[in-house]
Amino acid sequence: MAARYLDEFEVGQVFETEPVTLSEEDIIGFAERYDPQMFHTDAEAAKDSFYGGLIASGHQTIGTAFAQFIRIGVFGENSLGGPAMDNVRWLAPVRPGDTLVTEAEVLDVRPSKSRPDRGVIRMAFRTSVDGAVVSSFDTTTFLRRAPSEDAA
Amino acid sequence: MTGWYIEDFTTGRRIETQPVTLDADEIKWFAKQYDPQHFHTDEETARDSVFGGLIGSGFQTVAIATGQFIRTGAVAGTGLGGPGLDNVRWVAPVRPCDTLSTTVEVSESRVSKSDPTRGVVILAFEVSNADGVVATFDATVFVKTRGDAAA
Repeated sequence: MAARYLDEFEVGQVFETEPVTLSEEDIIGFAERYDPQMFHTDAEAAKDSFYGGLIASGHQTIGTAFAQFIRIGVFGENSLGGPAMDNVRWLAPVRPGDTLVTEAEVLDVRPSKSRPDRGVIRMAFRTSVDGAVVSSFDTTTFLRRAPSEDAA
Repeated sequence: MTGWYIEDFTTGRRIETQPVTLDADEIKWFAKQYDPQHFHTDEETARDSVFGGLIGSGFQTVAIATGQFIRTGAVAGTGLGGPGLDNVRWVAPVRPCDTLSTTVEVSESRVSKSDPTRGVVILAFEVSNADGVVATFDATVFVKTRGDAAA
């Protein structure tokens, strides 16, 4: 999809991302660096844990969801980075072989008052496995606005 | 080392983590998989971006801070995972070769009413580089109670 300016997003629009499957190797590789708890790094030890087996770090789940959205291309070169993320919820474990499907819904679109070339978009992300939501979070991102015709 | 039980997480208690230095390769490795925006993945085009150069993904900053906290051993064998994060704020860019230091402070701690074997802790994370704070967030974590250990 082509990159869109802030003005081309509308509250309520939903973007579906490509599904992605996490392998045991992906889960362990991520967790050894960023979340080294045994139920994320050691399939054997995880069997005796509260979770009954290896589960993915929640940080990997949200990163995977965001990456799949970025890969759609609607933010593209118009993204100016993000200052915030809120309401991150990990509702159910993600296990090796699970296929994650993420949808991102536009919550709010607000042009900047002080910087006419940009604005703020808030998006609600929901990631599901087999139709059940496993995590959700809301992002805030700065996006370019369409160049104004009388700017010159 | 055995981690802390919920009773050890007293409000205001602070945990210092080991600093960690992030290089350009690790920034790009993470971003290619989890945040493939060009200012996180391509040094050349990042120069012409609003950031003037490569910066780390904010998701990576939060994950690094979490990893360094886990490595302190504070929840080793006592942590039961976490249900969420709140108020994640990325206040300044992280650049290649920045050394990140994370401080964690207990902001809330209570035993579960429905399950006396566990409690809930809210931890306030603050991540800084040499110039000051780059990110803050609050993590909620489930932790065993000491009563559970005695049982």
